[in-house]
Amino acid sequence: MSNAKFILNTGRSLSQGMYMESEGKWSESYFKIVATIEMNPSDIKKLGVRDRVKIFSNGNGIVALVKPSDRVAEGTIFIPMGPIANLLVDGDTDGVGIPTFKTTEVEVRVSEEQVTTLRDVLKLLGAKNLEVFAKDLPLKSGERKFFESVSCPFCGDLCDYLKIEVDGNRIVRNVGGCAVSIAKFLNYHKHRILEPYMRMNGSLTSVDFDRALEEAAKILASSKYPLIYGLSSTCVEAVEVAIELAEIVRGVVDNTSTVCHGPTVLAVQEVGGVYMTFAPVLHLADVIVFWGTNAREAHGNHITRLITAIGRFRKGRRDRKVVVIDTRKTMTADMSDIFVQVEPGRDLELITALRMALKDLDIESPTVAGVPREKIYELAEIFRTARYGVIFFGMGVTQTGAKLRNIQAVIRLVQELNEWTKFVLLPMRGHYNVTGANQASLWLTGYPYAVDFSRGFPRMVPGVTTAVDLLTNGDVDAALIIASDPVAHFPRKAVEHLSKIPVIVVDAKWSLTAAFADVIIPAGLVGIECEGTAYRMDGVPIYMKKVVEPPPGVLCDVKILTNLVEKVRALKGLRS
Amino acid sequence: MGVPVTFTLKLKAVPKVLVDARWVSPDRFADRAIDEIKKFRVLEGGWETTVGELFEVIGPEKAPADPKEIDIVIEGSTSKICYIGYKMSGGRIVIRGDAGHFIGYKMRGGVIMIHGSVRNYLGCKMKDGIIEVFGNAGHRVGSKLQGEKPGKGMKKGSIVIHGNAGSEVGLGMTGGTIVVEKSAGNLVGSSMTGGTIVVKEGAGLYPGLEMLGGRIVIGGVVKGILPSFYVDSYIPLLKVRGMEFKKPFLSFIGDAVVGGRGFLQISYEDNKSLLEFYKSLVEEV
Amino acid sequence: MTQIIIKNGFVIDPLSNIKGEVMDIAIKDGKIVDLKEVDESRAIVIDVKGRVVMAGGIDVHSHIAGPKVNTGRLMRPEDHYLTNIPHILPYKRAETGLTTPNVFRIGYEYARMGFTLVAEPATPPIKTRHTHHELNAIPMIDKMAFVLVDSNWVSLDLIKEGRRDLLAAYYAWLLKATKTYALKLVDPGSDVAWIIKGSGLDIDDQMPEYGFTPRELIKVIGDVTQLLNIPHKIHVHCNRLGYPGNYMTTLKTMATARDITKVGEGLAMHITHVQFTGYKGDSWATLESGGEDIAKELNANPYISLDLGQVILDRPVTTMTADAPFEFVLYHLTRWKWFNSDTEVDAAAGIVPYRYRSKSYVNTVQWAIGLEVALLARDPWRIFITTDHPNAGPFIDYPKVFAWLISRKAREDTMKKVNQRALKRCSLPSIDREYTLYDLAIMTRAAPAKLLGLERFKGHLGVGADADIVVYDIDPRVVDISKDYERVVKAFRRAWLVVKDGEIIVRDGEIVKTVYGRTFYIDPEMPAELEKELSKVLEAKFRELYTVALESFVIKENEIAKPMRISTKTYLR
Repeated sequence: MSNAKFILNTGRSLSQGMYMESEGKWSESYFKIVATIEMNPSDIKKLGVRDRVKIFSNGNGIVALVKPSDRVAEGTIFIPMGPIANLLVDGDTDGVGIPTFKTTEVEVRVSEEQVTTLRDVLKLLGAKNLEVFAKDLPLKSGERKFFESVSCPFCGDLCDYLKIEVDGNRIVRNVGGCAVSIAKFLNYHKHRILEPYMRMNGSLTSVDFDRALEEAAKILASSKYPLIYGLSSTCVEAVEVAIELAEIVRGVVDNTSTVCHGPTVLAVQEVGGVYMTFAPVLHLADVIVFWGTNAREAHGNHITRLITAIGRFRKGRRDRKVVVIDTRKTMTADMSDIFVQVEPGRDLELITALRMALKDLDIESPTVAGVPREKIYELAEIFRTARYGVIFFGMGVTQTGAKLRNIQAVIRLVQELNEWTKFVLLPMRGHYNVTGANQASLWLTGYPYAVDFSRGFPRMVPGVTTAVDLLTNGDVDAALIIASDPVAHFPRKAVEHLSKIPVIVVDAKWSLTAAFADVIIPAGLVGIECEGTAYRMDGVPIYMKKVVEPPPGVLCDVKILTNLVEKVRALKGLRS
Repeated sequence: MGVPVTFTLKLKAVPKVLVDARWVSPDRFADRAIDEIKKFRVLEGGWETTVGELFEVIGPEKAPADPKEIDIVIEGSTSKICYIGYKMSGGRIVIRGDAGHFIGYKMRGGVIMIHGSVRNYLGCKMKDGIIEVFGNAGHRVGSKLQGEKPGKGMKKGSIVIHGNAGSEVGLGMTGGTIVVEKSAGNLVGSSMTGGTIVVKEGAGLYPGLEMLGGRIVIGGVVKGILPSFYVDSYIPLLKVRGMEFKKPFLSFIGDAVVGGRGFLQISYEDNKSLLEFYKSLVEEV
Repeated sequence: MTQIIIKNGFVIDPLSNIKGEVMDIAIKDGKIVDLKEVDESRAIVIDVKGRVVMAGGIDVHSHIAGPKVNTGRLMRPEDHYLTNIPHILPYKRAETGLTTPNVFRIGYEYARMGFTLVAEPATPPIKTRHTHHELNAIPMIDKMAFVLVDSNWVSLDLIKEGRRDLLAAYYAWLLKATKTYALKLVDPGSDVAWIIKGSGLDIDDQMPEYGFTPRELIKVIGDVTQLLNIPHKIHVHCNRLGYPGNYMTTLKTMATARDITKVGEGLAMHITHVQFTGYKGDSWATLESGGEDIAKELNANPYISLDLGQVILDRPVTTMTADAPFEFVLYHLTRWKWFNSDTEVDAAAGIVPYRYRSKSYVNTVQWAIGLEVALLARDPWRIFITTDHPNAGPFIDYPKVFAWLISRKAREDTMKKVNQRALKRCSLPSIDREYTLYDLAIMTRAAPAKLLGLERFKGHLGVGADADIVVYDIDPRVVDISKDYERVVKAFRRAWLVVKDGEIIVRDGEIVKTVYGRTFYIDPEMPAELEKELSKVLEAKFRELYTVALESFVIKENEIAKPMRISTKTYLR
């Protein structure tokens, strides 16, 4: 049977986010979503697909169900972010630290084989343990409490106007949150890690907190070059301690921006940026561009907060022009005034053409990146004549093609637009505190992420000290994963290295990475059970409340890490 | 100049983490006794160890005072050892196997030969000298560092890679020559202000992004070119730095968005569908 | 707690009127005490014979923390590559950066120079929590932040609506809510014009949408601070900063201080980094120094104090200011990196890397202006040494500035290296004045403590003061500081001994212990009635203008690592 070549795109989807937060990553429903391939109906017909296909990339083959969708262009397939998508992604990062998550070339073949299961995938990756001791926290009704101005620990919008109603330790209502936010709060008790575990004689055994911490400290103190990774879903206070820990063990500390907006941060290092906080958009923006971001699904409230909302000088949606630039017709594109479909991975051509149009340079080619020249001139005119324009951009721009150079060019475009009018841009940050992780890293080390302390002072070299490069090439000898799930987000070769080195997991929920752990330490959920500060995507810091207490015996990240630092210090003879 | 002496460094065991071996260079060895050399500091991850711990060091009792008279041969293959030949000004380093990142970082002269593959940042910020790689090279060959101005990359000298090279070859370079015998990744010569890059086979996306000067030659298939390069001429036969391509090239000038005056020359036949349109523009004139 | 006796030092302490006497200083429980209270047999006794003893230095204007400082770090990785000092565990963390140093470098370098209190002069209200995170993380020194108010829509609305009493209440609330110490005006009103129209303002231009001028704004805010009776009144960065001819705007701004209705104590207005706003001439090509005119106005106007913003030549700098329109202009000169941030409805900021070159005509004039103002000012109590770190130079170069002020020879040696054509148009070469170490102690200790209203326990060595003490390895009785100015640079660059809150933190110019200082903030008293009325206004304004909840905006005291609340009795009714 012949193979057909396709371009694989990955990204967030609403249901992926909802199931991840409610049923957990080990659930059938979550896996079903992330193992379903969206394909254009005409491709389905052309290939003669019944209900499933086998996809190959770098020799890895997986079988998954197909769902027809006219949102994906012909010749491309879409798989929601998750373990299946990442199995197909190559670990090479172009020296930037981020794999080419989008526009991966894959081969697709019609198949009748058994659909690949989550356990198949994990076995393929070399998981150490497949037992799941996740438990639901027992809920007990009791005192009813109402909390106002609660902030939501999910996405970078960090909505801080939720009203949460609690009955005992049961969260019963979330008013103001998006679908994912509601799922997150109302299911906070599900799939929890409630006790520490250690791997002994090949299987996970529950141990007391001190024992687990002792073992974790031993691993870190005896490794030559450990990687501390995650940190975007915890508070900055915890990030600061994690960085101190990395400094003490002379390892590397990286946060998840390394695989999402890392290129954005690198581009700012090269050329600067023109950012804003939300309010100027609300009050002044009359041209709003969503570029490579499906805000409506990944950032549920973003549109209602800033686009349809009424500001002082812009009276809601009717005063604003919405432009969506994307490779597929997303839900965000459905609400746009202008939709520009760009060829996958070719954004840089379009950005360059826009810059040329602004500078009155001739564009010789009649189409650029699949967009007609006239449309580019039109777009440039819309940008140039805006009173206050804003570009929100996402992983569609950071993870494809020229990666950081895409963003560098977008920033230059916006800088150049400021010769004509007011124009700003902002990355749509995914995790609720990834911005805070960058900020804390900056003030402590001078670098935003991927900070190496091997020489006793901070260094950052993209492509060398970035987590994906370190893991893919097997450059580190231990890993501490805090509030993150690299197994669900890293390419195959990187995950495989986790099966070869000791891994410590600190998390509230039973993640896929737990299958690779030697030590598992339960943590409270920041923003629900633990207080702490998070930074909104625009850099506005918000002190998050807690609405319930952490489960008995479970500590918050700050406490856990502080204890760990103390123990590592003692082992290294560094008591001050 | 006397006959060069050779120090052979035999790798004892393959390290499991990145190793910073920046003291392995003729300049550091010069005028030192072998026992001193063995005690040179090496970082294995964050742990301090020594050259003697990592390698079996074979060589004369004392190294000559002039680095130009020192040959260092590294036997054993590991992609973990980084920074070899850091700031070297003369002499020769031969690596009989793979090597890690930052080989020849800030090198000022001399020769480094690698009979294997290297990882990222080969010849980063090099000022002069010769690097030859018989395998593949990683990303950012002859580049500047992150955040530095265009032109802070490689200044002089030459890098020859017999295999493939990764992305952003010659990022921000300002002089010298980089030759890639096979293909290169995305963004060849981005932000370069001078110098020459020759890629004999194909290249990835957008060579010459924001280049201000210099010359890029691509002898094979290109995955994409930017609209900000203006076609200049059709060249039936191309000669560059003593190399000859017996096929036609299309020559572009750019990158116009930064007012650049660099040359980007791309094999015509290999990219016919991409370049046909541009060729027609040259013919009209 | 540790008891220390510093013996036989040559003490200079202007607030106690000690102009250089050999004395012993006793320390107990973090405070300076009477010698009798310390048991010499149990105390650490340090003989500092032949060395100068002063109170810890105070810097009133240095950008050490906050969103723009951090973005500066982000934008300038190249500033970190060659400026690292490895950690020495367990007592010293890793340092990196020159113009955009990390928190540890900031704390350690100030400590090494004998500075123990530093003010971050501009924090946008909505991101002040961020500023506090950084202040919390800076070791060694005490700190404070000034909150930006000139382009704050809430306050501008209140001014437009003519609700002066509520405006005062709002500022009082803002200081408390953001845990800051003073009100800062940056290019007054300009960030409103920048966010709405992309342009800047001169002092008599009308602000878009509001219809009044920066001059009126300065006066209103100046009046309000009098009512609030806060120790440090308004801290002003003048309009048209960085434009040739702007010295006129500065003179006008200084003159407004005369119009402010004074009810409380203290100076009515502080003009900051005056070098940047002291340009005469109508273009860069015809640039001249306005230093003389500014010094003249300072001498004649008793309500004003100034700090220099002294340019340091041939060092990279990172300009960062809430004066966003100016940074956009500067970006056109450098064409490399530019960062801008429009911050909610309360401020904006810009960042551009730059380098002042000694051979440049313009940069030489800039260098001369700061020194001219300083040397022509008659009253050292109203003139402060800053480099507006990291705008005109890194703070670690303060000792160089000290040398230029105390030694004509130091100035002459530098003048040999600068642009000679520029020098001909400056009065600096003809100025002979040399400051003394006593003057220097006024400018860097006594006067700033007074300016900040902290003279009770900061800036002097009398009994009851915080034990922030520094010993410099120089003896002015032996060394002719005017001739041997390099000794001064060396001594002040690396203090011989620094005591912070009674603990020894620096010995022989090196850090021996990491400690964390306090964060000062002002809590003006407010009548309950007014507070109630204000809260209604705030709720409405926040719902309309801000994208955070009012509750999220307020910084609680437990978010500050070591808060130090200073309450003031106001004249609010």
